[in-house]
Amino acid sequence: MLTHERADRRDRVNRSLKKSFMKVNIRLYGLLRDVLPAEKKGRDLLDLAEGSTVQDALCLVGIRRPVITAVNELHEATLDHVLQDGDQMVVFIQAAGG
Amino acid sequence: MFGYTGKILHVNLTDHTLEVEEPSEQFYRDYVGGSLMGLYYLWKHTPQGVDAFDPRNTLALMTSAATGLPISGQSRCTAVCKSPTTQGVADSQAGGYWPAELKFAGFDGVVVHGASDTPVYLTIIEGDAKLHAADHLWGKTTLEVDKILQEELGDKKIEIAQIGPAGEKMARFGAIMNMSNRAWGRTGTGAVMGSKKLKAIVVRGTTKVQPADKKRLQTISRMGGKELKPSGMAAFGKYGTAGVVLPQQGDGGLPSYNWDTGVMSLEDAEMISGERLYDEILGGAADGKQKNKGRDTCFACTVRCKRVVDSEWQGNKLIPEYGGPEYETIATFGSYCGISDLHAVTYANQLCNEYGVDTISCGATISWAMECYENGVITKEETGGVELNYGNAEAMIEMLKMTLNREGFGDVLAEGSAAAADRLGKGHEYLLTIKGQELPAHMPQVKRSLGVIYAVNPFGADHQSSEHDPAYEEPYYEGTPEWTGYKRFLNQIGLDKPMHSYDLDEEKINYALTTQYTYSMADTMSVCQFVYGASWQLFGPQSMADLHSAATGWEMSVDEMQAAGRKRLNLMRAYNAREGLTRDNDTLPKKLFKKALAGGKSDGMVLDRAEFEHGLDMYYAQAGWSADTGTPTRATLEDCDLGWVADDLGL
Repeated sequence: MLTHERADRRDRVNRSLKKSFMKVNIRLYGLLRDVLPAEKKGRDLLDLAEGSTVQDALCLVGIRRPVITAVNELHEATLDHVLQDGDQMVVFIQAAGG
Repeated sequence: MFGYTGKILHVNLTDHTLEVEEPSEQFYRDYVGGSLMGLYYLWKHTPQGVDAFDPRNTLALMTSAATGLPISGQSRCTAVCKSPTTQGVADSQAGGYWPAELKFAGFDGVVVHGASDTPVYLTIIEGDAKLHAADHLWGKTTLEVDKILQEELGDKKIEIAQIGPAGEKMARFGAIMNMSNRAWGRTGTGAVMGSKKLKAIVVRGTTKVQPADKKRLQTISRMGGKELKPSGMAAFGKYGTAGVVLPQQGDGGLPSYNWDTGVMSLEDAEMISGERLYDEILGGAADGKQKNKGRDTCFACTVRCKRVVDSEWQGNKLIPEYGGPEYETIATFGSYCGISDLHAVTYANQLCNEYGVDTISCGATISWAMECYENGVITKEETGGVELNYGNAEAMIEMLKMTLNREGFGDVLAEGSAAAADRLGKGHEYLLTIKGQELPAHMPQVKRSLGVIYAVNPFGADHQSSEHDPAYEEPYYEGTPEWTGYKRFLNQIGLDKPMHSYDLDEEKINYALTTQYTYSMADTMSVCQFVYGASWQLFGPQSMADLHSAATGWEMSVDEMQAAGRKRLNLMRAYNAREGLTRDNDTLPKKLFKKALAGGKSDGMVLDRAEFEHGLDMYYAQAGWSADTGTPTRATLEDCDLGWVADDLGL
């Protein structure tokens, strides 16, 4: 394949990906912060496919323990809550005492 | 005997005499140590009905068999006396190095009788106890006293338990401090020490504690090392108790604006979070070296959850020796007061440690005054010009200083919010107190069994007297393939029917009472409840029993351990009955039944009076207490080997 053909294909794929992907802000607290590089201090901008859920976002960052999640003004979001482009998702661990 | 020193020091401050008691082995088997042992001395030596500030009130400081052994979470000591805040039993624990050092100095505990005419301090050095004049220490703050005594005694390794100026002035929430940042905080033990004019107890010794089974002790300790990360306790050590701020926010359980709501704005909650404390205020934050410069520990503990700060607030240096704020302190001076300035909260924590007060009661008293002020019940004229609005950090600090010095309106607040309301004749509708003491920062609206425990607990509302409801919820109880849930420990004490935090039925009461016995034993064994407990801690009930067995050589099962915890709870409750407290004192603040929470996950939640009273009935029935009076029955006391207490009560 010629170089310009490869570049053209790459651009088309990227355009297609851009169309079907969305950005979600995620904030992780406590020990959950450690799943991201330290300098991010628990904050990241995730690229997720449209139609992704809270569960998908948790899987992407590697959280597999029970957590409390909230999205935007919704104070408790279920795992099957469908995310939208530009959403802010926060993830808390449950605290039994302390 | 192994584990124990076998000696209790009795100090009579009225005639300045000292006596060493060597209790029998049977006494140690029967009363174990810590809180239970202290209660025995309180019952036997304090006449019925005396005022908490009467010289005849007895103050006991007690350790236990494992105190001073090389394993995490054992260097704790309980202070017991009659409480000036609750008028029932006072009971409070502190960690640090002082408890272990007392054992190294040759004593399991100190019992203080009478009161001195002039200020004194006590030294216990290598088994030798002496009283000294303390006029030169009176009025001095905690760190000043630390430095003076280190110089005076020529030893930087001494450990000092002391009262600050607030305890001297008998502020009812006066605390006993050690290391200038570890507090026997709740129930006013520091005020009682102040009433006795006992400024400090200095300990120093080199006699190591001998366990009965060193290998078994090492096995438990190694297991703790392996579990540090998987259990989540490594992260607990990293962020400290302050790491709880944001989980509470997420759960709608962060008491804010004097408990009008269970949330702040997310931005405000982030501003007072343990994560921010770690990122910006701890020592070493500037160069990412918090692990070495920003954390402190108690004797032999690998968790290292204590905070060391290095920053400033409005030109006031935040001094490392005064430590950093715990979750409770951040809540009471922060979210309770609608304040998101974490540096101001850290400075408030420093002032409290400098003057020696309970940060929970003190912060909550100021937030009560703020709600009164916001509603025009307390005026600017009364506060001496201080504008006590929510969110006003400068006003909070100013009123705190006035309270610590008992100046102007601060003199009223130094009595605590309940007594202040009585003195002013107003503001009762905004009180958040039980038995005269302010609530800690966990909300019964979202933790229903905790509400019952708050009401029945003998020394007032306490967040460290039972396991909180969420630990018994399905996902956390069960765990996941990647994360160990809480059932591994809860199953050890027979709890295997998880349910939602908002449920309150027979099984939930069973959960609350059973874990209350476990926590009660932790305070009897004098171990840290962040390291030993019933669900999320590093060690569970079986390890607690194993630790006591390894220390003493007296094999103890989990059932026997639970029974000892039950014994302590019943002795406390019997003491309260002796002092006139009844079921009428087992209630929650009216505000929790009247005003629905606003915002967050707990939006609209309000407690139901009928559900709560039914919860109490179930609790009394399961505990074996009279439903009418809330007093343990004779049968219950006899079952706890406390028949002599039933005799004393005339049951």
